Amino acid sequence: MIKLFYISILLLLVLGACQSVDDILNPKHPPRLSDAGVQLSQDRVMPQDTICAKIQATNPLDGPLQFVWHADGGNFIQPADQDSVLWIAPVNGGLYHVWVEVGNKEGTTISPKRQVVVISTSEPVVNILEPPANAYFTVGQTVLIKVKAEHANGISVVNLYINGALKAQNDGALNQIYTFQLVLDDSMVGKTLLRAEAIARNQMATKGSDQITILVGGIVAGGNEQR
Amino acid sequence: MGFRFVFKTVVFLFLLIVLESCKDLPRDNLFDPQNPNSFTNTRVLVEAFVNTAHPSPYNTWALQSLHALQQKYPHEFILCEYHRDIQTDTATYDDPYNTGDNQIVFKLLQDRYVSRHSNVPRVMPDVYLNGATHRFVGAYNSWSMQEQIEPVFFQLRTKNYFKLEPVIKKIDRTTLSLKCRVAGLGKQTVRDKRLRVIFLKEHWDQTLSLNLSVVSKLVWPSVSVPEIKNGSYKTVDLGRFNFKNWPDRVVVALVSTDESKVFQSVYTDLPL
Repeated sequence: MIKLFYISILLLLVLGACQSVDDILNPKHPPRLSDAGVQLSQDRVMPQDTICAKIQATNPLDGPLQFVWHADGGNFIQPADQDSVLWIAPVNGGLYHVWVEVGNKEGTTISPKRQVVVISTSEPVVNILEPPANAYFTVGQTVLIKVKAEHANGISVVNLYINGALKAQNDGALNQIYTFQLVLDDSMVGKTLLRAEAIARNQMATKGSDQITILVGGIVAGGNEQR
Repeated sequence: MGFRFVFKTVVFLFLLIVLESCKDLPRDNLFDPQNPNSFTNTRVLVEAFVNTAHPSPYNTWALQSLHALQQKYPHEFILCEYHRDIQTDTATYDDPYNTGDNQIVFKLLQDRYVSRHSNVPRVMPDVYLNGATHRFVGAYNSWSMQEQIEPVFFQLRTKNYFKLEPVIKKIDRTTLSLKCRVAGLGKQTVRDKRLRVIFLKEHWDQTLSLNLSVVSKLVWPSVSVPEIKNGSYKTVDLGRFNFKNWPDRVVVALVSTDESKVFQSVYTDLPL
């Protein structure tokens, strides 16, 4: 009786092992995708533009392939179950992705995601965080100016204008914050207008700006200084 | 003899009753140090370090602001102008209202104040209200400093528990002696305090159209005040002073031992 039990266990293990061996001897054959992956008719588009996406896939087995298209925004024009598809870009600009799942009776292959930049027609959002409006300084002081600039397509550069004249440029942000250091001079005595202008990183180079006034007091340095 | 005795006794009893009833008089005079609710108002000491020789308009603008405030609040706003030279070793931009022997003590006081502020070094115009705590530097028009100072001036005009009364005695045409009665009103004890003495001379400036309130002498360091218990007063001898040019008024201010805070100040015109 005990022998019969052990024989049954052994048979079960052998059968289980045979399935793995079958897998090795007879591997699954999901669809194969071309190295180019998803090909797009355009990868920088305006909102609501339509572009064509294609995938070259081969089926190692007999039978048809199934195509399921995906995007993290916008819409596909039906039918969207072929090797090419029409995609309508969303209204809001930004960075989007299109990809496809291709399947046959033995499995599914997922393509890498392709980026599509949808150009935003909106202006960059710009805020001068520091100094506060109407802050008072004196000639000779160094003023730290912090500007937050955001845009769906990113910011290419932030320009700083003092009383209408371009004073500095910054294209390197930390957490979307662009920093300037301004040394105040006698030409700025009085109400001085600080304007930060951000230019979006897109074909339209849309611009957004923010401005504040600071107050600068004139001084005479020293007092009993030795020459 | 009997009548005189009776009369004296009646008078004595009457005086006793009067004296006894005086004890019950309420001490409700607000300036009476023994009144536990006594107080006075803060007079704001405004010390301005300026130079009127430099061609830039900034010091002129500051003085215009300060004199506008002094006109607006003639009794509460005590303006002292420390006229400074730009350089010690040249006559370049030497202020016309400054005598050279004052420069060192003016600089000592300004440096004491500036050391409390790291953001701006010693410059002019440089204005302080009641010591180093409230500093106003620079000007951008003739009313900019007035706009900055006025809100702080209102904040400082609060109840004050120190009373100062200068006692001036003119000895001769060039000499005076100065004392000051100091009282702690209400429940305030006067402790760890000094008295600053500032003599002022008025100068009419034709170009500025201002009657400048120039510091002609600053007593440095200030005079130590002994401890005065609340409800009492002491007279502090501030010394004898000789003048070639007789000043117009004297300002006495109660200050901290490090000279950086001003608690109360008072001014009085000097006898001619």
